Amino acid sequence: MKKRGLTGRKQQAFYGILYILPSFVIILMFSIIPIILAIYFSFTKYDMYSPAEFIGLQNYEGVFKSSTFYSALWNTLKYVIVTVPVQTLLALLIAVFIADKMRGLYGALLKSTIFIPVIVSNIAAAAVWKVMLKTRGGIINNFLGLFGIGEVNWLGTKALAFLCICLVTIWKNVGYYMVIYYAGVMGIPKEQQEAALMDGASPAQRFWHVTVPNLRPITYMIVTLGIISSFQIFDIVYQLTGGGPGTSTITLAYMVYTYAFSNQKLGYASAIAVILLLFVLAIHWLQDKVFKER
Amino acid sequence: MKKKIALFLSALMMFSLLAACGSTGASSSAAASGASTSGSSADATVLKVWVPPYAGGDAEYTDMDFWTDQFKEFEQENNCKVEVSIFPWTGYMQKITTGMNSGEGPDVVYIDTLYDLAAAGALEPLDSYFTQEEKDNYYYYDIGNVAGGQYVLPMMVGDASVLFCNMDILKEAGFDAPPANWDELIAYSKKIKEVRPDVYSFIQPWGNSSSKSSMMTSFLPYFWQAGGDFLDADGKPNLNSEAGKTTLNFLKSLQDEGIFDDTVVSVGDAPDLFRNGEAAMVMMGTGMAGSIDKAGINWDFSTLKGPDGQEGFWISGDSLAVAANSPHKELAVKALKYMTSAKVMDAFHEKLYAMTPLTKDGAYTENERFQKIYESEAEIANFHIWPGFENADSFYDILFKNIQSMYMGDLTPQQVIDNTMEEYNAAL
Repeated sequence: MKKRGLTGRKQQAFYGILYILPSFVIILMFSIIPIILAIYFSFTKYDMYSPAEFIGLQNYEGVFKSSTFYSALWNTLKYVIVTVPVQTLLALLIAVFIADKMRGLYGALLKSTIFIPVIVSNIAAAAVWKVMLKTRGGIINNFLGLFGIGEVNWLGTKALAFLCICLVTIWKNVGYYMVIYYAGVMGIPKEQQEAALMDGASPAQRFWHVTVPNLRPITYMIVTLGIISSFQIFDIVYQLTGGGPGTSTITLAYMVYTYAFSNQKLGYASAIAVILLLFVLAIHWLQDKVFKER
Repeated sequence: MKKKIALFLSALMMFSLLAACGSTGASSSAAASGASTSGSSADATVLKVWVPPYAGGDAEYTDMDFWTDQFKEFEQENNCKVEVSIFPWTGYMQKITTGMNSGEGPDVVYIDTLYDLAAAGALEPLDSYFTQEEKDNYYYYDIGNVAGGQYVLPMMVGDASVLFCNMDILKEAGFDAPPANWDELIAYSKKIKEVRPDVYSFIQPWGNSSSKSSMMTSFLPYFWQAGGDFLDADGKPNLNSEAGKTTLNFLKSLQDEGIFDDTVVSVGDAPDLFRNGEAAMVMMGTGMAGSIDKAGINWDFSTLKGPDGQEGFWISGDSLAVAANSPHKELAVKALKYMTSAKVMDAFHEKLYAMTPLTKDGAYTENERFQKIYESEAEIANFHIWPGFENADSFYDILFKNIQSMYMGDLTPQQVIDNTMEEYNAAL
């Protein structure tokens, strides 16, 4: 009997390993090995043609001496701070609104409309926005002109260019998070809402004391996904502003791309990528701690 | 039973994954054989050619049409199939670099930044493949001598940056001829701004998505007109020189004099503004003349002179090269010679993009108004291609962003120089 029990556990472990093996191989090939390689290359001078040459911490020294790196770091943090809360809150409010007030055809239409930007590629969306945001002849300035508002230099002033990057990102992401929230709202037991109603809770109180606590696990997931994707922001910046004007919209991921593929400085780019990875890990750890404590 | 099904699916997924990872060679050879059967004989060699587009975005006759037509004869003569890939200008060099490094890259490749690839040993030295007679037939063969060897064969030489002027607008402002020098450019611009406030009097594309495009029309010509050598004795950018300072001060003065407003860092396509009659004066390549004629603009041009009467033109020296890892080097060189022959280039200049002839047996198809600069030895002496130095793209990108910052009031011209050199050296 003892032998059979052990065999059973071994068999279970064997099957378990087999089941996770495909996912593990994918993660190993496309995440773990590239991360290890990036860490290795960050200590080398490597241009993709000549063999990598070990240079110790020189890439990190170069990165920390670069004023563009600090601009990129600050822009990335600002970007995370602006986009994650706004897109999360907007997605939650829209999901609750549709679930409460628009469950029929109009609700479905609204959900689809808000979700459409999600299925458009970032590059294509940013290209369209770039045309719309042109100072002269852009559709947005033409529209504003109808109300007597002069030409706004959307992509040519630091603050507005940054704001445009944030707005396009929020517009792109909110539909995705809204759908996740919507599923969560629909899963909240009706009894809880009804009990709160019978106790005389106002809509705001029901939202704050019933809906929000029930959606905490979803909020945790959405904030985590939002932070990770915001730290990786590249394509919208690349297409819309190219990191400019000046370095006002340059981000860490954009800097990695520029040094790796425009300038063939793979070692230098890897050092920036490793620093970016450490930031994401640190912020995720902090976020994990905050959510668990609450 | 469920366990067995799950196990089967899991194994199937693993198998698919491994098969997908190992299928690169198989799939590429399948693609190659598919391509070769559609061309010449089934066992024909496949030669990969990567080039950027030159036909306009809305052109009916595309670059692919052109190269497909041109290579038909070459394919028959050499029993091969030429696979042409057209990559857009945006991110072109990135695609080339990653493609060549992956081992799935081209045999013949068009490149505009010569130095880094040549210095890295990614390009095949070409000199031994050419006879003296062949070399002598090329006007600009020597331009291909970079990083200590003949690694490229110039293909698109010309497109000199000159100041195009909309003469209807200039005449409205009381000018019968284009400005001859920097002072006149400023004076003309100010006057035009008064008479025609609805158009840009003079504009530079400091919001271009390609920093290099801005450099070749809006920085380098002025640097040379200021009388400087772009590289110092060590082959590094000579930005912190008198010419560098004069150039940046001049660019800043365009804003200080009220010629540029704060929209200059969001202007992406200056030629388009000129074609639409929205800009009176724009520095751009002579190759734009065709599209400007089509737009019906009454134009003239100036070979602008700097403070000491010095002229300076950026000219294209874009070239063809053979990848060092090409398995068909002989055939690739043959294709390269074919592509730069008078027959093909005359057709290219006529159908896609007008440039000066590459070979002595080629026809002059560039706009005749420019013949006086392309056939004048004195003017040719002022032609400059992209300066070749390590990590040039990075340098231009940093300089471009710092000039944007200057126009936003964050940096002085001297700070542009200091920040650019510091950042560039840090990246090196």
